[in-house]
Amino acid sequence: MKCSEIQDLILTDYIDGEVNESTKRKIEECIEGCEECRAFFEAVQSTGSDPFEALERKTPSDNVWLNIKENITRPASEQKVYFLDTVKQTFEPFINFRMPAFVLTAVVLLFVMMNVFPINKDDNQVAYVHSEQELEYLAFLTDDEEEDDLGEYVEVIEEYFL
Amino acid sequence: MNDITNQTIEKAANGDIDAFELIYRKCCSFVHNVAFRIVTTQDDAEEVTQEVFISVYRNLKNFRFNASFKTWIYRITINTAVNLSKKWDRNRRREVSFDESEMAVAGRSGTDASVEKQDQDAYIASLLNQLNEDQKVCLILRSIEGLSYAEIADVLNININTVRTRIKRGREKLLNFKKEVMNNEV
Ligand SMILES: [Zn+2]
Repeated sequence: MKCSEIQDLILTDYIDGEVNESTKRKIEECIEGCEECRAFFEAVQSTGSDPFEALERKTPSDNVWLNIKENITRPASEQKVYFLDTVKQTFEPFINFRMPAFVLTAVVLLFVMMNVFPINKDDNQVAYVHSEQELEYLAFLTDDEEEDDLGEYVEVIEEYFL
Repeated sequence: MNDITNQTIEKAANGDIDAFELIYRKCCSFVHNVAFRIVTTQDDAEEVTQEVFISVYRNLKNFRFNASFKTWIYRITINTAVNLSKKWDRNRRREVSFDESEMAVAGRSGTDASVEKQDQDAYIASLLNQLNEDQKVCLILRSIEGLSYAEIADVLNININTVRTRIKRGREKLLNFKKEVMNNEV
């Protein structure tokens, strides 16, 4: 084995105890006999493995379990309220008024708009599609975004349950 | 960990809170420990731990018994910690400069032992900070949690050679970082 190959193994499998006996022996011969490989081994040990060994293990405080228990034993009806709260908390920084009022206003506004400006097919085409190029560009934008979001979502689900 | 029986898992999946508490007691230490090294503070790690076990509880019915339960929990932990850490990073970006100066001051107080622990945690965080997310996760699972390459491949659902490459690139970065630090000191 060349020194570069030995050093690749030192950096990974050797330090991590993933090599078999005969490879281990070859690597150790090189560490003993070759200045460069020994220096490399010592550097890897001091930065790549020693600092992480025998670290104090962190443990959660007692109230973590109490919070979990409180959450999972909450009746389903209250969980729904909790969900609405989360939605509210998420949107509150952006919207100053209360959610139900906001939703109601939005619905009423939409209704009024639809009556004042009835959708006409011909108008639609004139209003929204200025050129084929623009249409293609818009389609490209939407496609891209949708694919990205979906891809990420599927990946997360897969990672959880595979 | 090995004494979590399939029966315990089934009971917990059917809403037996005592059975679920047993699972929590056996697993909370490694969940929290991994979370701490990813999010770097005790408070955030506790929040991750909480999220993980709520997720685990809600998804117990989806657990397949041919898979390793521990591997499954590690996977949920990594996903939750990485996702929350990204979310918090975005939200807290503005606060960072203040927190850093505050930490530098806070570091001076406390008993010797607690300062030493803070220093050690800060040192580990500064090393892990040199790595990208993938390399960081692999090195935490290998060097801090002691998982084998095959176990890491299982947790992350990737090829074992990908694990090897990430660990190699990660340690190379650490070696270069150390060189830079030493050059700056001279
Ligand atoms: Zn050599």
